[in-house]
Amino acid sequence: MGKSFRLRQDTKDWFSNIQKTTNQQIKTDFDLYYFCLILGLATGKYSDPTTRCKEHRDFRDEFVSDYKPHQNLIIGLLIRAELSKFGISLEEKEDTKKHLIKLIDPSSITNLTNEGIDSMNAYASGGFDYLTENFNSKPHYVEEFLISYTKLLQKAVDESQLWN
Amino acid sequence: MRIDILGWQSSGLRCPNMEINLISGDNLPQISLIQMPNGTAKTTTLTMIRAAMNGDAEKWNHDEVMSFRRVGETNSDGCFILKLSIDRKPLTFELNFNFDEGKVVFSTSSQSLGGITPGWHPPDSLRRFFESKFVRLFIFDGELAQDLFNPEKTEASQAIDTLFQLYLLKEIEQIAERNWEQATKYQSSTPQGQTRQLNKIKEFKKHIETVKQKLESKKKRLSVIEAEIEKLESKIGDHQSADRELQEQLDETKLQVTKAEKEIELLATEIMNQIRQPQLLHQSFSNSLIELKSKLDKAKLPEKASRQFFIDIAEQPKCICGRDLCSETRQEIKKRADLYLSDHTSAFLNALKEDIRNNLSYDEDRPIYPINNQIDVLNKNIFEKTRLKNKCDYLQQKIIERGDDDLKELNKSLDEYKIEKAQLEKTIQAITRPSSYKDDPQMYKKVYCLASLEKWLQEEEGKLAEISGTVEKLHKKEIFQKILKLSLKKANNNLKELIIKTCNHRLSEILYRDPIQIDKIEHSLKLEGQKSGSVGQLLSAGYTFLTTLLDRGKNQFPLLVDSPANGLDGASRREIGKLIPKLCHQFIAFTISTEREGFTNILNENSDSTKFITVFRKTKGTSHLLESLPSQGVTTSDNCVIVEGKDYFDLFDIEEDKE
Repeated sequence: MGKSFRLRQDTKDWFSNIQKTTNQQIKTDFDLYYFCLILGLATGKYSDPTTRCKEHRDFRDEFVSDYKPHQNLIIGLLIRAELSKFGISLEEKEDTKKHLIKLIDPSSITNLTNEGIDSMNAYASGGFDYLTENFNSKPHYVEEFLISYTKLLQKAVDESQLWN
Repeated sequence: MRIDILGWQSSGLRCPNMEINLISGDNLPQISLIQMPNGTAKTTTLTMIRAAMNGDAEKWNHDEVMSFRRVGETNSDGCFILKLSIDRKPLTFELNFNFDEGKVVFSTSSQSLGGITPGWHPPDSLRRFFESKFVRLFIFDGELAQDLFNPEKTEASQAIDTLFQLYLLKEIEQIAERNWEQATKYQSSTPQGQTRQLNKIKEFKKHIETVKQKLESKKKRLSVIEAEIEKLESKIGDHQSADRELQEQLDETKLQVTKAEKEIELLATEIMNQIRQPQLLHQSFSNSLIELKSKLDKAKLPEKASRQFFIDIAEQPKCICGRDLCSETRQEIKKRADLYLSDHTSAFLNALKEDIRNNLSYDEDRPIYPINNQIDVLNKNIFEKTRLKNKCDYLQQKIIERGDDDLKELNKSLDEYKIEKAQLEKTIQAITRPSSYKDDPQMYKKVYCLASLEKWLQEEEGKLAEISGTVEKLHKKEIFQKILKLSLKKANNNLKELIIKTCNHRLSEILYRDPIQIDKIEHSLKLEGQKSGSVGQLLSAGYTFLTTLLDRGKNQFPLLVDSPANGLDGASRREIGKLIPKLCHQFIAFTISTEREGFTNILNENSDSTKFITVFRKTKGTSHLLESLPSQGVTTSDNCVIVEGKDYFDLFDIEEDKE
């Protein structure tokens, strides 16, 4: 059985103020997961969610509808981050193929192997760690969070060797 | 009778030690303009002149007296002397301040008194003109214009009575009454019965007088109450309209907040939709994905042959090239097939490359950061929303501060006044109602109906006339008194009508751009169709009323005004400046330099003679002026300088005398 996307409880708690708003910009837990994942990929930070937070939950086994159109591109970023993590250049065809095979499983609903899902969950966990390190407190207003998040993410990408 | 102010002298008081002489040579000029910068104690001088005229200073308490000593000084005494001329005969009031005891002692000097006499002793014929409320009519400050419309502060109708000597009609009536009383007193056939009747009449008259006084005081109070009710209703109206205005502003701002919130919500949703597309988050993400596709293309990934192709071959008896496949070869093919991507993986990679091609910009010179523009707009919208919310809080706070408490308090006072008004009207009605058969003359002391009381008095006087044999005399007296009463009423009405007509004619000329009209003259002036007017309007109406009165009456009074042109616009200044010399035999003005423009020159041009005086204190700020004083017409004291002359007056440009 394929693995699922995993969300730490502390992540859920941290976003609690803005997820409960009636505005519904943040509709699902996948949005929270995605914020963290992208930040983890941007910074190259990853951690084991199960050791970082005892309370965690496999909340979804597929990309939700809002992300379905973009799931290949998200996986594309994962591929780049993973290849970079293992120091594999795209010119190294055989090593690249090996890694693609490790990460990609089109027979899975997520297009990811269990290892691929684990990697994503690790980046989401690392991204959350980075998020909390750079925010003074839990966000209270979704619009203010979106501004701060975008700025933090862009700064992280600008400073990252991986993406430049 | 004519009253003139010849000058005054002050020493040891809050106003400078000075002697102002308004006489020029042997003549008293029609206009005297005394330029005194603010801080030269114009108000104190005005108060002193009034106090000297009305004798009120004798009643001042310790604190009031001490308030006239200059701050920081310890002098024991002070003095103010007012020099008047009554029908060209001198009358001088001297106020001696004893600051050690906090008292003022008067002395009066006149020919009729045979020299100086301790105390305040105006000639008896002048007492009525020297009452506080009357003096305020011709010695006045800027507040009087508004006070003329306040029944508590002035007696407009009394002014008419006094100025036009209508009181003489009342005095004649009293003389007739006294004569008849004398006649009945000494023509008795039955002294005992006559005395009883006389006493009865005396009691009747006493009671009637009490009732009349009561009526007068109630009417006066009613007039005050009505003015208060008008004021309160106006305040409540202002309060409510200010509240309404604030509430409207608050509602409008709340709507703007809601609109801003909606815009923020829409924009945040749009931004979130963009965040969900990773390629839009940063150009590097986009570039990196483009590079991924490019490198995969270069590496020919996915390969044309997939893993399944080789697995299928390995399961065939012969290779695709026609050779037989041995088990070893078959094993090797299967092993090497793992190096190829599966069909599905290839399909995924192709889909990924397709998505990259479709969704990402290949133009590296044009970085795509649409999200950043929207973030900027969102930031601005949040700032605007915060500003609007702060405005809401401010307005809300203002509404709370204005509070219902104030309005409740105003309404409470209004209710109280209305109750009092109803009671007063009831009392006045009880006094002024027609006589009734229910009124019992035996119980006359409990009856307040003037009509009944006067009817009974007439009956009792008739009885007395019969007893004393003076019936014919009584009838004559009654007819005479009736004529006098009617004359007084008619004269009063005609005069008021004439004054209102003259005033309104002048007002329509003076305030031609923004006219107001006087409707009635009661205790105070009543405007037509409006409760009040602007400062300029009221001042113009006040001048017009006073000058019209002073012009038409048989008694002539000086008019002394503090800052006469303050509050008047240019056009009104010119009109008033032309009008005053025509209506006043003596006009004295305390002015400041800014009032010269369009006023003092017009006064001068239209007067028979004008005296110009400039007064300033000797201070550090005015020390430079001492060097440029004219060679003539200068008088100095220890703390002030007085300069006579138009040239100096016109060039003097200090508005405020700061020490």
